[in-house]
Amino acid sequence: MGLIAFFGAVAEQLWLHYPALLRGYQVTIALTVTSMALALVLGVILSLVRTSDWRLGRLACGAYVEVFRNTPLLVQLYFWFFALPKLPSLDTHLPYLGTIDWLLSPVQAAVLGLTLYTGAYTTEALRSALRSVDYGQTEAARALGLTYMQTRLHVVVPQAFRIAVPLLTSILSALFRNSALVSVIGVIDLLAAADRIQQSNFQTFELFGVAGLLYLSLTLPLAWASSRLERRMARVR
Amino acid sequence: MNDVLTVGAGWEPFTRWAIWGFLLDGFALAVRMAVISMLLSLLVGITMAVGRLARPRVIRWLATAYIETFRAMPLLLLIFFVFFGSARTPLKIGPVTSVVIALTLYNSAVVAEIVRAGILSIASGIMEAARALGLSYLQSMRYVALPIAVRRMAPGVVSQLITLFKDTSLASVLSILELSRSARVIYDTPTYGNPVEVLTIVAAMYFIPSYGLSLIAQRLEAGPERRTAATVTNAGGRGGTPPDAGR
Repeated sequence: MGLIAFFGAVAEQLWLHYPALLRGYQVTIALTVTSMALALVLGVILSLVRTSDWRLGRLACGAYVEVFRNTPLLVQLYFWFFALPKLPSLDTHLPYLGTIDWLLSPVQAAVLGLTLYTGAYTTEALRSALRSVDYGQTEAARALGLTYMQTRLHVVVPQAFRIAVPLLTSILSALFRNSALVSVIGVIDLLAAADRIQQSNFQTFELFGVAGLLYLSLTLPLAWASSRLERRMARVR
Repeated sequence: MNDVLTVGAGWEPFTRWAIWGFLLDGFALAVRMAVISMLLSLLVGITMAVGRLARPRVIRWLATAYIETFRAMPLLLLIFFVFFGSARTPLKIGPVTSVVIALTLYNSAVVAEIVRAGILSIASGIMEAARALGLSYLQSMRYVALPIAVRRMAPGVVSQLITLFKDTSLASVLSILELSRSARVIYDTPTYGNPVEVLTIVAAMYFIPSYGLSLIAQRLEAGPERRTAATVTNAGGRGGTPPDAGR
């Protein structure tokens, strides 16, 4: 009974405040999609370097992954938003770039922070996928006369991507949840939007309930897809 | 004076013990919150895993709903829900307790899945073999199945402890003086104004224990009895368990 009344009140809050809440929802989705796209590009490049023969590149990428995985996202966001502008400005003497003063807007800092944090995880996921592609594939491609880069980009990477898809799906789901942290540097995402309304009308449970349901609408399908993909991969093997 | 405000105090504050003591207090609080909620998460997580594997349908559904809901929620939302939500009820939960409760809600759901995978990974043949050798059900559980299951869960639990330790930084949104809030208090002090230096030190204070734990998790993964098996699978191209997803 109480539960039905609660969901009624949740629906009422959504009805009353849907413009602000849906704007926050959009911000959360936009931040997540942008950061995931950038993190995937970063992950592909860095995982290729990490599995290459270039020793210095391997070490640098390994250091990047360990540092960004083993420090809290919150501290990283603080760093990009509060600490970066304190660095001395850089005069590049280049057209368009000019002097870089490191000052980022909250949204820029959020995208940078989420991308670099998630990039460490996508790099790891793609690295283990790249290593799990049978070496015979590389040998066969090289024997057919493909160059090193052709082999990696046209033979190994597509197969690795398919192997990594279940894990990348859960990384995307984690990114959706992690994106709630950007409210601490002043981005009005879904959580911040709900929090703002809650502070004025004191319908705390109801508004965080709305936010929770909206987050679940994004993360539950991903969790379901991830476990299905994993099961299908297990069967294919 | 103006110069100090724009340039900041740099590394100078770190030559004083008081600053280190302040940061170490925050560090100790972060560790305490992580350890307490890990213990609670193990307790709740094991209960939920057993519940999800239980025969009665109601228990199975309840445990599944708990696990799937809390695993899919942003931790910050859970913290807000517990703290600001409880403030609207007669039951006013303090900030530190709220964070521990929220951390436990989220992590117990994750731990439950790790435990469930560990239990499911024990082939039924192992239990049957133990029973055939004359061990009772409880003996074969205690001496054969559980040691294997615990060893398989260990790497997952240790990596979850890393996540948990990093997630204690979210307590700073409730103005709890844990490590990252203490950092902010220092660099927000007008005469210091040195976020680059303070955040670098604080990042290192998070990094060292987390990285140490990740090395332990790696060693546990290639544990003594699995080393040969792991080498064989690596040669075949499929190395170890996949890395985690960032939460």
